Amino acid sequence: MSAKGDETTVIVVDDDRATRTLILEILKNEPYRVEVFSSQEAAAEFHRKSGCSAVIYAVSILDESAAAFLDMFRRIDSIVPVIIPGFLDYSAHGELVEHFSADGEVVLVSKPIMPQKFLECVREAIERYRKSHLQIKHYSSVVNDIRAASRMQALLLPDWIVCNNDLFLSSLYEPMYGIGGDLYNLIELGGRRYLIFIGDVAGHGISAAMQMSVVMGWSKTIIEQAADPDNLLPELFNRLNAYFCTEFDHRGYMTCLAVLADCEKETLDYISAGHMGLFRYDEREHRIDYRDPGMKGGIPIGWFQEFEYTAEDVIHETFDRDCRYFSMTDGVMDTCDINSNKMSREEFVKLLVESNVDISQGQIPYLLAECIEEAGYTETSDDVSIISFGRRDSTSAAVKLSAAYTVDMANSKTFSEELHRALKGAGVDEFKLLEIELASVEFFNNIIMHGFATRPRIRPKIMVSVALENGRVEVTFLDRARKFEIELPKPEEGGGFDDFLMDAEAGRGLQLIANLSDGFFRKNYHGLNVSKLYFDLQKGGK
Amino acid sequence: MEIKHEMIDDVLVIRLMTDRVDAENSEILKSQYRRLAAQAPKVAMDLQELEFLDSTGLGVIVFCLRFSQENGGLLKLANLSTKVRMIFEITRAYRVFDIFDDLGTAVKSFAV
Repeated sequence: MSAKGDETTVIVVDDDRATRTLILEILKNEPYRVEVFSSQEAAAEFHRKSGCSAVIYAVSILDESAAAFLDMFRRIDSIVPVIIPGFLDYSAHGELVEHFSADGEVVLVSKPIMPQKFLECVREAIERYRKSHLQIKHYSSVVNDIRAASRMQALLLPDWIVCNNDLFLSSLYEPMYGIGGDLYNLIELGGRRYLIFIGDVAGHGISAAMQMSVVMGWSKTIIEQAADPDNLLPELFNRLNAYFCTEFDHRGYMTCLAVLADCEKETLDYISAGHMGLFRYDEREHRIDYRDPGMKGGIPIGWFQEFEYTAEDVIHETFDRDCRYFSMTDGVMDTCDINSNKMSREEFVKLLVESNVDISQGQIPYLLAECIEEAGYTETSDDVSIISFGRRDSTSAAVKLSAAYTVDMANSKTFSEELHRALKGAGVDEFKLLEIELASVEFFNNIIMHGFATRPRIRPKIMVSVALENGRVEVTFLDRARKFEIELPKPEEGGGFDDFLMDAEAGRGLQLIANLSDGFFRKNYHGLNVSKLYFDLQKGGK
Repeated sequence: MEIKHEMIDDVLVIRLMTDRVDAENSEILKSQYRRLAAQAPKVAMDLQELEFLDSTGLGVIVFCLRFSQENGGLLKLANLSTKVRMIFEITRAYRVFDIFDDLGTAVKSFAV
């Protein structure tokens, strides 16, 4: 489509020697390379291979073949100007005139050709094409820059699952334009204290992303320099407010929810600057409620330089070990259905509770997104971010292991050993334990080898949890590998697979999983694969 | 993965000095076995250090067995740990291998 090379080329298509002579004479002093063709197809082929900046279609009689020529050229290049000298009477050539007019880049020049006027037409057309071309090149460059920036911004944000000894944070990030102003982070403060925050820098695209990047860096610096650790949250917001008002000169602002989680004291302190509060999901009662910050805080960061966040704006709660907490940027609640209806907060909570999904560790952001989508709210107009966090020391005795592993075959061993230790500690029979270990390790390996085989491994994680309840072991895998299907073969009679073992080139792993497990579940929730292997401890070893 | 080998009588003894044969390291065993067992009709594999093998690891041990068989030889296993014995039992791999409690018995069995 573009004019190749540095030379400006003009294609002339004509069938009349006199016209050709005139046009060549007009163009002789211009710095153009002029290529002349009597065949339309040859002209088109030349442009396909070499390109040009303008086409002069100087055929003696204008008829349907002119329209056909234009269509043929447009299949190669949608914007190269086509200059058509000719006499067109609208009453006689109405369709042709309309066809040319609709094109947008056809220049009709009346005959007889006036040299100076014709030359000006050609020069203007070439200049217009040059500018369009530059715009297209610039646009491609911007698109490439956004793609690169998007990858880099993803690296600034935490992994979709972060696990440490005290708590976990899972997250979902979907910027509207590839990059955006949403941000969230988990920062370890020491002494089993953690800062979790989620925020939304106003605006979209590169500008919001740049401010987001600055805030991610600033927040760490502010925390390191904090004068009073007991007053960290208001100090964080006040200093961010000062930065936004002075450095960004009121051109940007941000809503934010910051949470100070103290796993030693089992407390949650949080402050909101115009941001949605916390939702709390109680695992015991399968109930979700919304912790409304009310009027506390309330003012977005960057609105008023004089505004001061104080300790009065901080809300205090117990950090319940059997609750999962989540929050989101307003892009989620701004998502509409096809009739432009949004959900209210009450409808949102009702939707989740009635979805009856198993809202366990790590899955909340993805289950939420899936529920919202399935309920028909699919029209997004903003960046969407959802975070969920909770304590790892759940009072549920059922969970024996909960850990996140970096995708690396070396971690297959770590997982295997931790699984073995967890179930041995829970009193599972050694033989059965080995069956569970074998099948689970096979599945873990399958995720790495097949799910992540063709994806770049930039800090991907697999989260595994193992629960033992009512004589059944449930091993749950969460991963963001590609959505590959797993179809387990039928379990072989007798459990062993000696002939298969000897002859198979591949697939022993899946057969092993099929033979050793008592059930299998796998589903993708908005990009998160949730897989479960079930093992019935009542059944004898195979 | 470290693999040691020596000749005892006319039997090639291969010792796996690793606690694990799995998808991560099984190719090493495969290529080493090809090299070592190509000219050795009698092979005894000492698995004393081994504590775990997954389906890929099991597949490689099967490969070793087939390699020897196709070259007119035999592979026997010795010194399986309790856990590896259980794995062989779970997968019924014990049906396809000759397994001995100790290396000496495995080596002597070739003379019978």
